[in-house]
Amino acid sequence: MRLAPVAGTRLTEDQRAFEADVREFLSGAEVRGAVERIRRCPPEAEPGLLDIYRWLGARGWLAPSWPREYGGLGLGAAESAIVTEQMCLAGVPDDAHVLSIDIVGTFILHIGTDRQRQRLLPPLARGESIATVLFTEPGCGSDLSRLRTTAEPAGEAWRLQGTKVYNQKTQFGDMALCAARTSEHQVPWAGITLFLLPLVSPGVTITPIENLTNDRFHEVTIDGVELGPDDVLGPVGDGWQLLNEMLVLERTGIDFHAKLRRWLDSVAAEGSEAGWAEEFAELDARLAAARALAWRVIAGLGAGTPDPALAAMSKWYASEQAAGVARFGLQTRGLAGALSAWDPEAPDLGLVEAACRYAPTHRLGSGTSEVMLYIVASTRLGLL
Amino acid sequence: MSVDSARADVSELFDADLIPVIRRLGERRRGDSGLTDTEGAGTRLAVWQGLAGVGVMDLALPSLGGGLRAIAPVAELMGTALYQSPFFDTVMAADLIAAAGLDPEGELAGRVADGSATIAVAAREQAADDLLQPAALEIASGDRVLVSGDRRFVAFAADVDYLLAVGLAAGQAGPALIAVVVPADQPGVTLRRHDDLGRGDLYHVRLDQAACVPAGPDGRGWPGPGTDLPGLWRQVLARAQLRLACYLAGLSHGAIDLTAGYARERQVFGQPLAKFQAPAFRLAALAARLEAVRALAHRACEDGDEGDDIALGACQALLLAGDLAADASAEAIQLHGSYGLTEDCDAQLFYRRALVDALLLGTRRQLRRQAAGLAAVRSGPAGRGRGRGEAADASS
Repeated sequence: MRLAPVAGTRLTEDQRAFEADVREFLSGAEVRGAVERIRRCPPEAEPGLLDIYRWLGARGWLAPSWPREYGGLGLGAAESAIVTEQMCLAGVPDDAHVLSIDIVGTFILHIGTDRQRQRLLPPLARGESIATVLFTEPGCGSDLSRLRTTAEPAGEAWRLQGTKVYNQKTQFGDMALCAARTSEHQVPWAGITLFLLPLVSPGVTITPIENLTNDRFHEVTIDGVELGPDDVLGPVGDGWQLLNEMLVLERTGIDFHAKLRRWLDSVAAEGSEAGWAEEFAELDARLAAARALAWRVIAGLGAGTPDPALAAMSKWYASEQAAGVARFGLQTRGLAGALSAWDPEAPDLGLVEAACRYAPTHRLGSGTSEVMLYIVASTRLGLL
Repeated sequence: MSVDSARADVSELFDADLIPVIRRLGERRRGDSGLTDTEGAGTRLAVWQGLAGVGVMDLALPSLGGGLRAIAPVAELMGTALYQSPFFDTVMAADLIAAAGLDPEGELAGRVADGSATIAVAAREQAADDLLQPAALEIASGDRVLVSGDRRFVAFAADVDYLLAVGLAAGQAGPALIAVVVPADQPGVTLRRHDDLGRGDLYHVRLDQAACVPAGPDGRGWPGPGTDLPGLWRQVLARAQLRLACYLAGLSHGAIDLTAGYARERQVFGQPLAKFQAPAFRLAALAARLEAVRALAHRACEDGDEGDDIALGACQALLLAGDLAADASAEAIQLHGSYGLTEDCDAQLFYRRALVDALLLGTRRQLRRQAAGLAAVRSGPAGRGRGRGEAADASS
């Protein structure tokens, strides 16, 4: 088997100018102040619909690749990635952005009806509304074919019943992309349909679940919520295939890389001291490789030739560096690195402490490391 | 000849049938101290002439219309084929000779281009030498420039036409870096073949009043005044590191591909080995690391061709590629089982070559130190106030 050619990844003049504009805005006093307030927010609070999203949305930067009529700038995959990368480097929480724009928004843009696009996309692009996903259930995580939430036909409408878990930002969301079973089949992945579920509905109960990070999980109970034909996304029964096709478009690895780069930057001063410099150099090299691979994936998306195996490699490679970077931070800082943002003596507002708590999420979120390796082994190497 | 057609021709030359043969070229018996490999000499020459004939040197050298981007896939192919040749040293030497103006008439460059002249780089006196600070050479200037000194781990010294000796020589203002072109076939040059893990062609070269080619603007044999040879040497070394990183990426690909193929065929516990997650996931992880290294190396090639400083990227790419090649080839042996240890199986060949080739332009420690130094420069006073990731963007 021959090695695949490597496409060029240098940005065009226009893209570089766009990157400079985004970076300049995000490094301004207004954004820096807002980021600091988020980082200092009390333990019981959690960032949701951020002012920063609205500021980006007003410029068309929150979803730059979307058409202008939906609140974007009609630009490409590179510009979207530039915004994501720069947001993460600047410490702007991006979970709600990824969920709303990169996942739910992208699904609606590609497979939604005109009515759905006109109704739902502009508030997301303006940063005025958050959409989230309800895929995982108590009995099914990576293997969505096991999902048990049902949608019973009720005339023109559907009645949803089930429990979803481990979803995030749900308490701030107006709508969720919800996978439910609309028919039973011999093959478990058949009969799954995607719905756009309004979260503020009678019959939707959201219960927070505290976890290792500052971003809560939720258990969402859906008890007989009725949805109409306009709340179905894509063809009925095509959910499994749509999830496989569409989730790849969000998977580049660029967000994972940029978060780790910020962690490593935080300990750059300690890391360049004698005794640490060589280990620092190695982590630095791995992050440089993670970034280069992510931009290769983005170049493929931009050229209209997405490569799911390469995307899986990129997500796996970047997220597998998280533990090493977090522990390096802890080692270089010692016990001071274990101090949280709520300790007045914590260096860099407890970023290393936060990194240690978030590192395990990188290998789990957006497709676990094992699922990524499965994709690579089966589709690239002819194994399994 | 266009870059694309030359690349297609190289790819044809390294076809699936020929690759297993090429992998065995230059493979010597242990303890064979003979200077030349008489057995495979004919095939080796044929492959070399084939490569030169399709313009591989044109792809490699900017002075001939090539560049890093153009040669990267070829270097990868050579790695997959474990192709042992004076190619990488000849390109590195020609790169320095052109940059330093040692061949103003282009006479040597012409012969390098058509494959009729090959050059080995002789820069290391001791195994542990840092190539950025080559050891001493003694220069005697009379009617002719004569050079003396010890150089070890010189690749294909017995095959090449010239040696490019690089080292520190005494000058009026203290020791200065010099580079001289030395015809290999002369009484002042004696060779001893190292017997090494890779069983390849590495030599201890002794230069004893060896005559240099009267190159350079004033015919003395080294660059004229005003040439920043240390600066040029650093750049040449960075480009060579990138080509070697690509070679090692290709080698890693060869090891992964060989092993995945074997896993699909080999039956264990009633099904192909490929059906088991443990080996499949390990190979998938190596494949992912491979594409990350390739992404980094190819991007640095792109940047280098645009004239950006690529010292850090090259060093990082080689560091990661060397580790990957060692891991991928060790995994190849493991998943082939004891068969992987046998002379018949290419797995052990990948393993031995990976370990040696990964050292050719710096040990892990040297590369990590070099990268640390370059990263510190990047985040120095000029880079402060911006994150490292952002500083890296300056060239994107």
